Amino acid sequence: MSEVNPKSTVSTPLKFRWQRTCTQFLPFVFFAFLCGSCLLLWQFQNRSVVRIGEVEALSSDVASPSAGIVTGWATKSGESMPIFTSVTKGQVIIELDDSDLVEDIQRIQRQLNGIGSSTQSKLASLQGDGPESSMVAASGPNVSEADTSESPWEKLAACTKSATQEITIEQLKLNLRKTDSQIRALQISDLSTDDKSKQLASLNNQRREQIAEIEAIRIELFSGEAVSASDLASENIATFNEAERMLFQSSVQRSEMLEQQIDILQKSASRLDIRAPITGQIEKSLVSQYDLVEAGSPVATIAPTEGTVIVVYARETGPVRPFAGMPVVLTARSNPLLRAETIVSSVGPKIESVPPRQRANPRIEEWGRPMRIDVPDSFVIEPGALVNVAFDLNRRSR
Amino acid sequence: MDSFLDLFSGGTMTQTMPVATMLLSLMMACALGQVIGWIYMWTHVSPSYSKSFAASLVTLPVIVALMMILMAGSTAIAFGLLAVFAVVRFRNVLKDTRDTTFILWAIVEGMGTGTGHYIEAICGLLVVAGLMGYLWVSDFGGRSRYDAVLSIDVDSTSITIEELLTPLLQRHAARWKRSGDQHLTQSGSSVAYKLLLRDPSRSDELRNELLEQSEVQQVSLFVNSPQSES
Repeated sequence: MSEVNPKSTVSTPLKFRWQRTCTQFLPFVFFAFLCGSCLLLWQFQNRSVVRIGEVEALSSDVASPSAGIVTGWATKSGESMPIFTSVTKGQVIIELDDSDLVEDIQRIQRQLNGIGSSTQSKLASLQGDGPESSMVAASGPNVSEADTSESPWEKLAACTKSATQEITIEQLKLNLRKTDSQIRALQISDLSTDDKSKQLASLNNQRREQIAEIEAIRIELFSGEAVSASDLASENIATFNEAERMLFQSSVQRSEMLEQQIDILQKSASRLDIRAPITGQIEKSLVSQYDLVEAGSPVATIAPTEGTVIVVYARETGPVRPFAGMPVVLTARSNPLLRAETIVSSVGPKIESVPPRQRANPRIEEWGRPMRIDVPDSFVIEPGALVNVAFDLNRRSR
Repeated sequence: MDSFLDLFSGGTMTQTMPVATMLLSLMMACALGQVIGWIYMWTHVSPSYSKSFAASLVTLPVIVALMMILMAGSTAIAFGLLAVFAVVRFRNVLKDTRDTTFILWAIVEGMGTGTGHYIEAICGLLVVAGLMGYLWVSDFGGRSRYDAVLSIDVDSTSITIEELLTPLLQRHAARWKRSGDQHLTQSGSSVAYKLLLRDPSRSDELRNELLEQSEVQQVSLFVNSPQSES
């Protein structure tokens, strides 16, 4: 047998050495790389649960603030109903007939003008012609031209008292008008018959008392009884000026009272314009031109054009435990680039059936607690649209 | 260009999951598939071992994961995939498991783009292509512990063959192992070895050195090729 030098071992070329090293160690290196990548990606995982929510926008019923006759739609001329007409919040949509109120306002305005002119003439008489002219300036019928034996103070007192009585009469008339309004409102209310009859009886009694008061003061006004005349007779010249001021003051009070009446009537007239409570489109019209509407009766329905709230359900068996203030991320399903971060506004108290549109499979019934999410201003979306609501599980508990 | 890049950041109308989650799924599938392949390689003892089958065990989980991401629970897409795969398999007799893997990969890519899942299709393509390249570079599945088979006929029975061959094998082979029993013939004996040659290009040198031995009658040296299914 020939001997072989054991030292002359054949050397392995670099190519085969590299190839064998690769085939032996590369799989392990690659496996380690995969495991490291998985761990890294796992830490950056956004562990969130996505549920489908639906944008809701509650329609608003428009009610008439007062009774009246519909004269027409302010949004569109004619009798046709302006369905799908866009309106803004505060915009007048229906006008009621206000001709009666206009007449009342004009009548009171005439009374106001009359007070001003009569006060000026009375004052001129008191200052210019002396005490005797107070008889001409006297507004009350209790002072006759033939009666010149009364002192100026008595005459001023009579003028003041008559003006005050007139003011009292106007105040009582205002109260009477209020009582009449209460009676009308009670008549068209939805109370039971017994309650309505009791309250009507009480208001009618009050009305009779007010009418009696007015008549009593009118009788006193025309009977000529000057109750406070002797009190004012002993006063000096300073009191004369004060009496003059009292005359003015009574006129001013009366004028102010009439102005208040005008203001009230103008406010009532403004309430005859039915305004839109929200911005949107008129969805339904419940009245037509020349219809008689009562106070509080619905006249139209307005649907908002932008969603205001999103309703989403946290599944009964799901990992999400909802609570108010829970952060969520909204993504519109129609436009995935439309995103917003917000919080849950409120959570429903009980578990309900999830609507079919919000289920993963509409045929399989699901149950969950409803949550309401207010739509942010930057998240413009139409009512009825579906939204992906992502709940971050890392922050699912308080 | 910005709108194309937005596909990776903001998402499309049909993207089912974020890109990071998708990569996590695919990489984890690849890692698990590799474990399955290793177990197959280490535990397979029968002669029907196939390197391409072991490599397919690494690729299939990734393709199936990509398929599940694209289906996203849609029954219609699942039935469509089944139908397409049945049609393809019906018309093509796939002999190699690796061919089946590529067919499935092509079907899934077409399903992804057809259903609008562009991000998923692109990410899946990159991941699977990289995986295929890794399998090719690393020769995954090849059990290259020995790369040559040596069969020697010796006419002398008075000495052991190991005494005769050990110095030569030590010189030319990094590792060797006797395969089978020594076959005794009328003129001598015959034995076979599995070798891991230090330099396969110098296998002829080993043969010549063995033939120079007077006791050696015949030498057969066969350098192995990559195993495949027959």
